[in-house]
Amino acid sequence: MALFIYGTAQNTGKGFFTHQDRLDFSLRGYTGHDGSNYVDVWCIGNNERGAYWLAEKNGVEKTKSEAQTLVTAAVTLAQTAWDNDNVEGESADEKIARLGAKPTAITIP
Amino acid sequence: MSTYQELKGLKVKYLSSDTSGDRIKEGEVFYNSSDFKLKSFVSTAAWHSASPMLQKRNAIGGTGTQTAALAFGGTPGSGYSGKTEEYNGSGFSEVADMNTARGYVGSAGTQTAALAVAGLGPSRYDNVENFDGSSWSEISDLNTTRDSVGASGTSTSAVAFGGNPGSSPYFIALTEEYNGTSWAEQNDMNTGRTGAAGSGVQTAALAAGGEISTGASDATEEYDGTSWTTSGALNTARYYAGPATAAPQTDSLIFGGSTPPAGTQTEGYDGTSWSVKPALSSVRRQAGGAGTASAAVTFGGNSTPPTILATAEEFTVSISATTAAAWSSGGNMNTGRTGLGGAGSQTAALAFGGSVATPATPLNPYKNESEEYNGTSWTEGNNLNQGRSGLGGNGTQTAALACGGLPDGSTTTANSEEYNGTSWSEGNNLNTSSYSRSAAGPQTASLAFSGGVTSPSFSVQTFNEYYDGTSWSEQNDLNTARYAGSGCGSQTAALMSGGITATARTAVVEEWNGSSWSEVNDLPTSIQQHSISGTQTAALQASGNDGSLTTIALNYDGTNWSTAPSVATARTASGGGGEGSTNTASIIFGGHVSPQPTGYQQTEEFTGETTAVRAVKTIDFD
Repeated sequence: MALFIYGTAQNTGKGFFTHQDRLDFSLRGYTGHDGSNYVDVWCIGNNERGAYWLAEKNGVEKTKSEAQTLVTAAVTLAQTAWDNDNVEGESADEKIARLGAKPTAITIP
Repeated sequence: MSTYQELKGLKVKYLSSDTSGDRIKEGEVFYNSSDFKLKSFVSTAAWHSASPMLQKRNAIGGTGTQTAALAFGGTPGSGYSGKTEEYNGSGFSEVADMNTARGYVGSAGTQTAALAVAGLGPSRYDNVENFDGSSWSEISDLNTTRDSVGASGTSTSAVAFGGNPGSSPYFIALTEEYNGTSWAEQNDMNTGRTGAAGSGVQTAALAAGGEISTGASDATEEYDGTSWTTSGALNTARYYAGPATAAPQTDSLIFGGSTPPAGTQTEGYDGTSWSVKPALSSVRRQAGGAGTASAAVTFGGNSTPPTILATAEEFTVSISATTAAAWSSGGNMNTGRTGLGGAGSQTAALAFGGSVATPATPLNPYKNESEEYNGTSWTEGNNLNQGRSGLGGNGTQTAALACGGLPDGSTTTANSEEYNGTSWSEGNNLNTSSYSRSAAGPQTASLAFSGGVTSPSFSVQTFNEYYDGTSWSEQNDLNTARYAGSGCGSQTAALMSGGITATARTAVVEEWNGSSWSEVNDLPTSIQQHSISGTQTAALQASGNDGSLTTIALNYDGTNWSTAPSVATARTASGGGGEGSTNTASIIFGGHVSPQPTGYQQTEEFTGETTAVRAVKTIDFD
């Protein structure tokens, strides 16, 4: 049995994941991009309560590979934006001070 | 006819309700005069989640009690670890490493006087190390090299049994006793095995389960200081189960293990036989264990398919039910943003400023929006007079302060503004402009410290200023210049953690006593752009960037940092609560969820662990 269920579901705010949900199953959120929009990608503990949670949130189950692809697409967009944001005469250190470090790859568990 | 003197029986408490009277005691029968029933509170056993370890590991050693446990060694996935973590009943904090990194060690003793016996690393060991509460030192070796050895007892009086010597026969029965000076061979177990769970003391030890040539074993043996005697078999044969190491021989507990595969089964031993107890919440084997049959803790291990765990669970037999601490989702902000200021509490918070893109661009300018949170949803309020990002924020929802920041992405400001619950008004300027400054305290007794400046060239600073509701005054500086750290507390007792120095991310923590800053214990890892709330002696830190986005949360008790339950979504440069936010009721909102270029809208709320008496049982005479 896989450790996680993967899926997308829009975080609607209060009550989207409750205190009890966090005790019932592990949950990690990431930002992904589906080619058109940013989407919330979730790695959900693979138990009955986790599976119900994704269903109740009208989530769309993904394979791990599909979820990773969504997250990687968003990372790539951010890296491109970072690469393209330059100020003439700015050193590498100054760019990092201004923007923060270049977004790095994210590997979902 | 009977007389009152001749009537025999027991007195029972006569109470008007289930929880009236001077005590609630397990098993004590009382009479409820409101519903005319005899009742009693009955203990229930249950596992609940606990704060995670700092480093995920399996094949980990464990000993001690539920409120004072020690986790050491193991393998984090590649290579072997000598890392040692203490558990205080709330979270894990790192202490000194073992001299020889290894997993599959035997474990005995307490949190402050422990033994790590033999084990497996790059090679198989006979090494034994003693932990004195602060450091590990080598002591006498076992006579026979092996890993996955069972162990019981104290640091000066232990017994080690079974294990895998690395060659045939792989499942040995050899037993050795430690007298505080050296190890000596004793009578063998009846069943040779490796990965048995051990508990008890040297003269009354228990070995349960283990791996034998045909697979998992259900064999149980009791040791009396001289020889082993076979006792009742486990209901579920298994190896690499977690033991309650501090449990006596006749009242023990084991949990999880490999049946195979990894399982959740928990069993209790009463000196004769094993009975099934409530299962672990998640499967794990090769986990560490500590505690007793009524108050145990397990940590780390691996699941199926092998995924190495940092998570922990506590087992408690009690009339009270424990609801573990956790972060849950709060209402989404109307304007997602990063580098924003925050003030107030979990049920009355304020978010202001920030930027909606990282980096902000002319099309996504620095923001002046201000929003109020009521514990459920965010509502737009009147804007800051000056839009900016990287500003300091503190105070309450009805009396907040915003100071400094980057209004245009290139030049810092010294502006400060006051919020009165309705609108923002200009206050007197800081003495020095800066951004990514930390701020703490109520509006009229604020403290703003650290920060970066951009002109004439970028530098990090030790700035420290007081605000008295009218003007800012310079105070003694921080010892370590930094920006993008986080602070909390008050003008007389503040805390500054992490951030970025001139050269690198830092783990340095400083405390302010009203007149000077002094360095205290470091964070377990260097971290920047995190959120922190609470006081100098009871703080909760969440998320940030420790080289990558992290979900880690940490508690500070005025001396040590220990783990707290993790947030769901890692983020940096988020807003956090100010006055009214505590280490048991905190909030984070917005921030930067790399790689999303626009500011983040989402909120998470932290609620600390709570306990409540379970429902009372009615005694039915039918």
